[in-house]
Amino acid sequence: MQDHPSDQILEAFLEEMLAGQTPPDLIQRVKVAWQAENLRAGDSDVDTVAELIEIPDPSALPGPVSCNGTHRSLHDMELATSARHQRAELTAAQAQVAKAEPSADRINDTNHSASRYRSISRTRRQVKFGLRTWSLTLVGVAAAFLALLNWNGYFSSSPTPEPVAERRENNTRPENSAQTGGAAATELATENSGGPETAPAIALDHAPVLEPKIAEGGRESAVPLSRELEIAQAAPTLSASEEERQDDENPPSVLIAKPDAQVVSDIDNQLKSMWQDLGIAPTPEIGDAQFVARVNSALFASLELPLPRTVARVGVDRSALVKSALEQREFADHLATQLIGTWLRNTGVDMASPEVIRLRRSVADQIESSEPWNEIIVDLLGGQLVEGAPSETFLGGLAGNGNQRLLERLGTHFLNMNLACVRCHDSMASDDLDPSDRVTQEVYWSTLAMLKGIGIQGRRNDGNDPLRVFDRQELLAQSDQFFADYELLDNRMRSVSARLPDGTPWTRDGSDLLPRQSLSQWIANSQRMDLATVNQVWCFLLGRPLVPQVSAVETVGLPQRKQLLTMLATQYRLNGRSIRRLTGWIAASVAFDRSQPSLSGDQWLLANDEQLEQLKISELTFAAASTNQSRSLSNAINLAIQWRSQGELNSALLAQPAPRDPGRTPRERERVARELMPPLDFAIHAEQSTSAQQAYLRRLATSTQLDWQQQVNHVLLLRPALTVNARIQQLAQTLLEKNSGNREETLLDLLWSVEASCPM
Amino acid sequence: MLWRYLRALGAEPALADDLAQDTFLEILRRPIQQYSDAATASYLRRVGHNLFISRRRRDARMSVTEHAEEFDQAWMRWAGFDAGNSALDLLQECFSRLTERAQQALNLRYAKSLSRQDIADALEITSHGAKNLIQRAKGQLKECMDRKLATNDNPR
Repeated sequence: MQDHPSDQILEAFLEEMLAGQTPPDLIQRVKVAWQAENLRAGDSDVDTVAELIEIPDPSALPGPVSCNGTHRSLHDMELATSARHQRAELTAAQAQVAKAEPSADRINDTNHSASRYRSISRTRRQVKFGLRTWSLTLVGVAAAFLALLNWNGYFSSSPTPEPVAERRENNTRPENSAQTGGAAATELATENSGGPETAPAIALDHAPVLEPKIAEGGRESAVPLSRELEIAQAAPTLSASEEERQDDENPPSVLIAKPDAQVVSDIDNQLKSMWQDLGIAPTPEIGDAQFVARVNSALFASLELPLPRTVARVGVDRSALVKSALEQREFADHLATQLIGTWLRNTGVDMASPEVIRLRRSVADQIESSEPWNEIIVDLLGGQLVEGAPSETFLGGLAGNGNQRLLERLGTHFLNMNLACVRCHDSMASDDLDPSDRVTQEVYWSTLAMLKGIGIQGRRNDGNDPLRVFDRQELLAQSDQFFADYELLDNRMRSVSARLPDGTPWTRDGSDLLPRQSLSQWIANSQRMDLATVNQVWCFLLGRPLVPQVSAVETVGLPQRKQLLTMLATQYRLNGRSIRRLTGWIAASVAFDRSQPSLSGDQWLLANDEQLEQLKISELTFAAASTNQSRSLSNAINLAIQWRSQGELNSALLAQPAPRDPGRTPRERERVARELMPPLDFAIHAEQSTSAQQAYLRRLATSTQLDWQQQVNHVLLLRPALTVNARIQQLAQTLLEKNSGNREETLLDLLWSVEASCPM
Repeated sequence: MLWRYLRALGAEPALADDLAQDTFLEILRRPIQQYSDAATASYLRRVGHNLFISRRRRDARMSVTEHAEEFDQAWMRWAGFDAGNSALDLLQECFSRLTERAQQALNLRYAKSLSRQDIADALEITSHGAKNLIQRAKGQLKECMDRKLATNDNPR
């Protein structure tokens, strides 16, 4: 087999052209096999099938072939249904389905191929049930489908291969056209079935999609995993977000752009109100010197220039300092670097390459100018694909392999939603969330279809075959090619056509925009991008997003935080979507000048669970500065492994009086305790979980639907930008061993690792 | 079209027959909703691809491409719109532009299924020379096809 798909295709075409290996006529063969299968199943409607699709005498059927006796996996048994083997294997498969049921029920929501085969037996039963229930309609589907095959030329109409040139000529003749073939076959089906009343083949559009639902106690049972995990999205309603609904309720005149000082005041008031509601005391303000350092660090990534630290000694006007900082080009450059770094994280793109530098300059220009920030997505996703253009670099980093990474990054960074979950199953809102906060798998795949035709060729960093982006959407648009196939959790497959996230179908009518351009325009005009931008800038300045994109894991003060996010997004939009002003509001708020929670080694040793939880909640609600330290995912997991490896030693040491030995000085006691204390962020976050985290992780850890690897994947996919590979899985396994097999604790450590390495 | 797709994936003719049949049986067992012809064709390819992978794994044969999407894109470029008939015509044109010797080598290789040594003997060249000749000829065909297919693509 060749490496490149084109080589494989060329090889096959050469064999067809030179060796005469042309497509055979398989219609009769399929008919025979279908009838044989129905006969075996004892389908009472088989006679009708025979009538409709001209089943020949059963005595002419090929005889059964015995199995080779070797052990086969379930999926092999299920799928090996060739003409030679299908009789014996179907019988064997049915016999073993019952035995294999537990494993077949296991749901793999990350590995489509594997999951398909594992629980295909269940699907088989459902299909069988459906076959009986809908047998009459299926007859129509069968006949119409075979008609469609003719229509599409899947089978050659003649068993004798035609020369290529002749075949092409014939395809253009009216009498051999697709419609004629399809009409002929449909007509045949209609004629043989005795008239249109009993010819469901005509009603192809009404062919049923078998959706057997398991009824329990008169109530429809949803897909088990969705109900079990209830992974909720933070305000992911695409058709009408909370803000949009609020807009509907309030007349437009109520929404006015407020001056900067008023917006900052509103932020402060809402934060203080939240802290009061939750009974949290904010940490003290940082001093001027620390404030200047923080402004430098957050807005310039530098602790030195361009701001003079000397001003800190004589006091500073903090608002003026922030305003001055935002006017400098270094701020735009720094924010552009951060944004591009998150967009293209873990893609292998060289951040120092000329393309990325050009992209950075372009993004920084957009930040520096007063143009609405949302237009950036039009350049990135919908722009011309010429060398050096922003879209070339952006799509070059994210497109390819079905564009799922591209879509998930668009979700995280431009739609404020984690789409990694809904790739495999619908999200379900928790009871305390708005029921409309739900994204379906269909939304994911129909939006993905909008990206069809975009891909990459070549290899990154390969001079001979450099990576380049291609866009074939114009070509695909000529033949209605925008759709996507996907699997439901129960392994049924669905096909969806391209739609915008709000469900609007993409059509060429009345628009010159291709799907990716339409999608980019939709995102740019969407209030979801406003939410995403606010959340992202908040995260850059304060270490974690204002509202998490998967809210089921972190719910402390969530209603208040969502309200604040909505207010900020509204003001951001009304003030011309200036990302610079948005940054200024957040940097001038009370959240920006909080100090970190202090926790000495000695305090940690003596702290009880409540105290640790209080520290954690302070940080989650921005009443304390973030303690997160920048780490890679593997480093974070390794740190957890290292710390958990010392568990027994720590326990032994804690039992000793040494740290509190009165013979030691306080400094010595602190030093000993510090050796026993993990880094501050680990001590606060991994040592104590919130009730929402506990509930989520317990549900995940005790799930009977998911194996350990899938449980790990669920935690890791809380940040779609993280790379989930075998090495990370191995580290997770090691961590599980260090936690003595306690899954819940291990998943908590992993959750900390994920948040520590990728805040958003 | 499905049969050709399976052949391009690497299925031998007999196996392609079986898998094409199995694919349609699967569809008959699990009817799908018809959105468009293209969607149906894509669905058929997906099922065929899965069956092919399953068969290869069961037979412990060579690994098959795991990049179904990438292969599908290449397939659509070659044969996506008319079951590959146009691509075969283009290939015929490209083939006619090869040198007579290159055509002869490919004919011996594909039409007569001769070994590399037999081709070398027939052309009175070394075995290594026959290998190079075939590789160069296929390279020229691929380049020619890329060029011709690109003219069908939408310009950026």
